[in-house]
Amino acid sequence: MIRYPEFVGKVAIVTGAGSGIGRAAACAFARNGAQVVVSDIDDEAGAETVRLIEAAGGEAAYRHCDVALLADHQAAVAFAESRYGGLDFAFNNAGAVAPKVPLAATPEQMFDLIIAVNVRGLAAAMGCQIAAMTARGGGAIVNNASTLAHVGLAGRAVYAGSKGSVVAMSRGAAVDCGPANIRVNAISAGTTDTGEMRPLFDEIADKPERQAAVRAMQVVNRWAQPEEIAEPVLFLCSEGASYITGTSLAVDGGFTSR
Amino acid sequence: MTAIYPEFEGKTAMVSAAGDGIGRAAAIAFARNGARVVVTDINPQSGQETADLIKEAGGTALFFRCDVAEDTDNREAVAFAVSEFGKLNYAFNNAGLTSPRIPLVEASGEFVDRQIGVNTKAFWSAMRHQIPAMIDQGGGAIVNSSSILAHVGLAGKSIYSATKAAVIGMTRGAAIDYGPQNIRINAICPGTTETAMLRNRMKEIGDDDAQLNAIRAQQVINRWAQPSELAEPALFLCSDGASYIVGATLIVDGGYTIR
Repeated sequence: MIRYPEFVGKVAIVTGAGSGIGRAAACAFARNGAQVVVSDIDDEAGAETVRLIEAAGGEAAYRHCDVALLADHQAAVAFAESRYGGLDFAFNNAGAVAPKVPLAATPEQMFDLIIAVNVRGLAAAMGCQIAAMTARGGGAIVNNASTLAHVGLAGRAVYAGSKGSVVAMSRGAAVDCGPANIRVNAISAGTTDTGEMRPLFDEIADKPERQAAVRAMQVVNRWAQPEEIAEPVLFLCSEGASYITGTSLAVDGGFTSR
Repeated sequence: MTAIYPEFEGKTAMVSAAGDGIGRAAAIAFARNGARVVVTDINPQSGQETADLIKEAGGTALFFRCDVAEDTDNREAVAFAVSEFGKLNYAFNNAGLTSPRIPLVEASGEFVDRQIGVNTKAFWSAMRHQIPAMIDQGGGAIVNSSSILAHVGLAGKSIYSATKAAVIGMTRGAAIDYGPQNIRINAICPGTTETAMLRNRMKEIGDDDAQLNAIRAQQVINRWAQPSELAEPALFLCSDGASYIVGATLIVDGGYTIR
């Protein structure tokens, strides 16, 4: 279904596009006529997303990107420019998750990894993307934060801190690049059926009571499909969101409402 | 260019204060996507004009006069939607009462009651009739209009701010209560928008560029919004694309509140 005719001929980068929310967003961008740079750390998964898009008649190309690395972001943006002539939209979706560990027990190595990917890597990504969008005359960036930027959960303090930084950095970047006609927003996705959640889903696969408990964390009593997170991301990139910048949109089935 | 929502085809939407500004833009956008629209307004002339504009463009709309501060009007507006179009799927509770700048101590009891009546109690009244109608047909979506002043202060607007913060609280609470019945309830917080109110203010300002520029510069993106820029997010929140957005607040303010 084409929702956003203005996406035809535009260029989008999606990180972590080899699976889950990133794959759903890449496919949705392409379905609406955008040319998509699919980036991921997993080359096979990323190539599969490109195959899916091409099979549906869309345009996409894969580019390996470890989002912790500035050089990889530079290369991905340069690739978008050389292959498709510029960059209009970026969905910085990839992030690092950590096992549940209380803050005082968090190993330094885990702390460094979370911050390197979720905070430092995002700054690197946006730095490259904003430069390219400025050259183009404008653009839109959506960053994947988390419900845990807004509410606490046992054993997730460091992760929550990194995602709180995503919200704050989105806001700050929006202030900086508003004059360049670049909008920057964050989404805070709730429980979604993705690979990231797979360990939990596997663990509770034969435990109906625990499944019910995970569902009941949401007002809507279910977890999300990746497409339900991807759609708001596309909306925030669309012309309909032309007056939305620096904000954080909760897409969580009501998880943070209570 | 505006988004396309095929899922609105054949659905019924009601929009309050749809005689002008954001409400009119939303009513027109709903109709363009195939929804049948109940246009409500306190002003019969402007409301009827919106319905006529929709019909001239080939859409389906009917005007129903509604003072949102009157519970009877809200009840009858919902009954009208159901009797004319068979059901109610979406409601955009957009009507509100602006406020002159009055420091809290100088605000009269009547003033406070009126602000609360239109900007808070009216949302309870509208939703208490909309929700059962939506449950009757299997679910729906409601978008309530709050304000950026629910999040930041402005001199002389303490009462208005309080009423609009209450809209967010009521939205969140109602979303929890009726989520299980497949009704999604969210709020939007519009910033500076070119509505009749802003146009009046601009008439007073005349061609004083310094003042106009100061109004623009309150936004990160250095301009005020056109009504359609608020209507589009309201439509998105009603759409299937927002199926996992519940009890949320979407700030649509060009960056007014972020610094």
